[in-house]
Amino acid sequence: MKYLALLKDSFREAVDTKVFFVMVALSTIVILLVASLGFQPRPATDLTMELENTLNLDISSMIQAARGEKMTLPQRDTQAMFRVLSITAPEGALENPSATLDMLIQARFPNAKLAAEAKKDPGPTEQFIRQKLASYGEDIRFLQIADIHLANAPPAAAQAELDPSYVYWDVTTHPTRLTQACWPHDLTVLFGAFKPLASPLPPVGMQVYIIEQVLVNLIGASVAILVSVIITGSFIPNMLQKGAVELLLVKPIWRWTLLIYKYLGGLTFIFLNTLYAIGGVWLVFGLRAGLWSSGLLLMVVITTCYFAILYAVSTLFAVLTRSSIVAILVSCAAWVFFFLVAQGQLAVDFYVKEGRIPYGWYVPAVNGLHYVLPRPKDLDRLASSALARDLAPQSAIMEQQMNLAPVNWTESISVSAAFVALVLGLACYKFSTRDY
Amino acid sequence: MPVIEIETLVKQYGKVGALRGLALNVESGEIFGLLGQNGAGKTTLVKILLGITRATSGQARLLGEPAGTAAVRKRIGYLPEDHRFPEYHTGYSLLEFYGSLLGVSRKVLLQRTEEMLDLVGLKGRKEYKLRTYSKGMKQRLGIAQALLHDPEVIFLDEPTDGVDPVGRREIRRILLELKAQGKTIFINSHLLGEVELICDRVGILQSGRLICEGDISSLTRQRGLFTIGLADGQQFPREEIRARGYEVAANGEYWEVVLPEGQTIDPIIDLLRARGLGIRHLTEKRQTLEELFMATVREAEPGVDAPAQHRPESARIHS
Repeated sequence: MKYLALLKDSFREAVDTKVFFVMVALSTIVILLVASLGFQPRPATDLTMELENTLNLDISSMIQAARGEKMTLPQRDTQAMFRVLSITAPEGALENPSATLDMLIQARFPNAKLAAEAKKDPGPTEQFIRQKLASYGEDIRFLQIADIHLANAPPAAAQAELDPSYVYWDVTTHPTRLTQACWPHDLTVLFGAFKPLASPLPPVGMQVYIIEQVLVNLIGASVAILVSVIITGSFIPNMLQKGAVELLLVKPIWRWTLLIYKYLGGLTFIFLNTLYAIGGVWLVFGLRAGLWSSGLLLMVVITTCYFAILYAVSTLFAVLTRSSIVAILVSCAAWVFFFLVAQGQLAVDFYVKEGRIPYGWYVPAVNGLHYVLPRPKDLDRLASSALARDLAPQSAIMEQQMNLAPVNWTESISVSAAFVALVLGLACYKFSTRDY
Repeated sequence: MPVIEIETLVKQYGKVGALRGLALNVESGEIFGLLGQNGAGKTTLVKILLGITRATSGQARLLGEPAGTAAVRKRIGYLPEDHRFPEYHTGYSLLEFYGSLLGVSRKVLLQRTEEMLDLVGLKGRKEYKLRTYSKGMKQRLGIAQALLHDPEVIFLDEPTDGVDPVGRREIRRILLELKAQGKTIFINSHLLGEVELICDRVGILQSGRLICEGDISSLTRQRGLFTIGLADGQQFPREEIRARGYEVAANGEYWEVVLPEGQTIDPIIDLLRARGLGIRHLTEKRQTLEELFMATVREAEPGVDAPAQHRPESARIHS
């Protein structure tokens, strides 16, 4: 009851500042902007290159390419190189990502002898195709192999393709939960008014991933956190104003409870705002692109956690100074400082390992700060990973493979939580022992 | 049984002593007025009693329990001086908010909110934002919030500040009604006339010390000074009374008689009757509370806002 009363009070205060309406309006504009995007599925034949890549390349070689290193073919269980010659949808349209697909796959062996062996004993090659086709890794598969059997060369095959080193397979696939995300789509904006980019475009999941990364994770979250810091920065100083605080302190409620409730009230208010903005984008992407990313919904929690760290700092300085301006400025400064420490730690760690800079005093200094301060950067990575897992599995795998310093989530969450607890504890102590 | 018990209460702000060994009891069911100049320590005392500020030393008990505990705060109402209500509230939502923090049940809160708004004459403005309220309306709303949970003890810091004469009268009526219900009311005020009209007892605080305390009728009585009026056309035996050692002075149509040490007014009454004079007016003269206050604080050390001409020579600004 008391918590709800304080929450309602925070809400009234925020609504009264009018900034709340600006925040809701901005969120609504973003949601409408996203709603104006259209995603039109392309024929399944546009999957050809992606399917061939999954058979002929692997993640390691993709990472090599991404790093700009020379790409080498990896050690594989087969010496064949594969091509997808045709894709058909016997029971539906080729543009339907949920259709069952039949495809003819050609394997070219280094010589006729190996091809003959594969024909005689197709099991190992079929097993390879079952494992690799449409797969980015274990359990990350955008088509499920339903059936595979040897096939004859297509009637219209060129002379070269009748070469005895070629072997053909008919493969039947069913969609998986990732098919929609990995399916090529055309992008239209402003409700189909025009197509800003020519085909071929990345799969729809990747398009949505990029849009969400830029619009939600980068710009949206930053603007939301900044506006939230500004809106809530005055909550506690206003409560502590002379003439106002006395009216609260005489109520039968512990001071620390009052402060924590006020903190949680601000946090809940921001959570609801974020839920509206991100939930709206999530709903629109679900309806428009058929992608229901739980990773995007996780962004609501991550953004709130990110804000919780800054709001704890704001609360402490609000109690110390009773000034909204100081609370807002110090929160923003803390935000920048945490970011710089995280980036600095990554950079120092990387350059020292690479031997580009010598080990000096700054290494333990930056590492020490990194270990005791909250880790909002880790939350960024968590958000990116969650989005990639649902929308762009190939990116998720690459990120996993390239991850030089994996995040220790237990440590990261513990340090951040301990920081918030410590800062709030100090604020509560000061508030409880101060004369008003 | 005292509702408020204070023993040798001391509050230091750095080197400044806000309260210096204060002792005071307030009985149940009375209206007590605490008077004093600005900076005398009145608000500090109330804040200590309510747990808003902590005493440096000494003891204060409210309703038989240590002052300032959550259990005690549930049984008291408070209107601070210069209160600042969040202006984003309406009159109704403010009472609803404070009532929720007081732990009043929803059903009771709805009923009490309407009753209190009606009591202070704000029912018609209950859905208006507080920023549209006048100072007097905010003051009345402040009284409503202090009474919302039907407290046993009510602390009011300048309750009639900014309220028009009609509103003041209404507030007096409310306070007397509360007294009739057995509530104990503690008032801090500069408006001595108001205090005189409603308080049973007063205390005068000067630089953190209680320099005077008692019931108003006793404090304002001027012992040994009587005003006597005779029937029309009758001559007052002035010289005869003087001869008996009494001081006599004319005051309009009345005569003021000052009793000598150890004497009573009875011999004078006997004399007038023996002379066949008709006594039409006889009162023991009282001073106003303001006169008492001025006389008391003048005797004590001057407060922080003493007039410039009374400041010591060293404190004057020389051009």
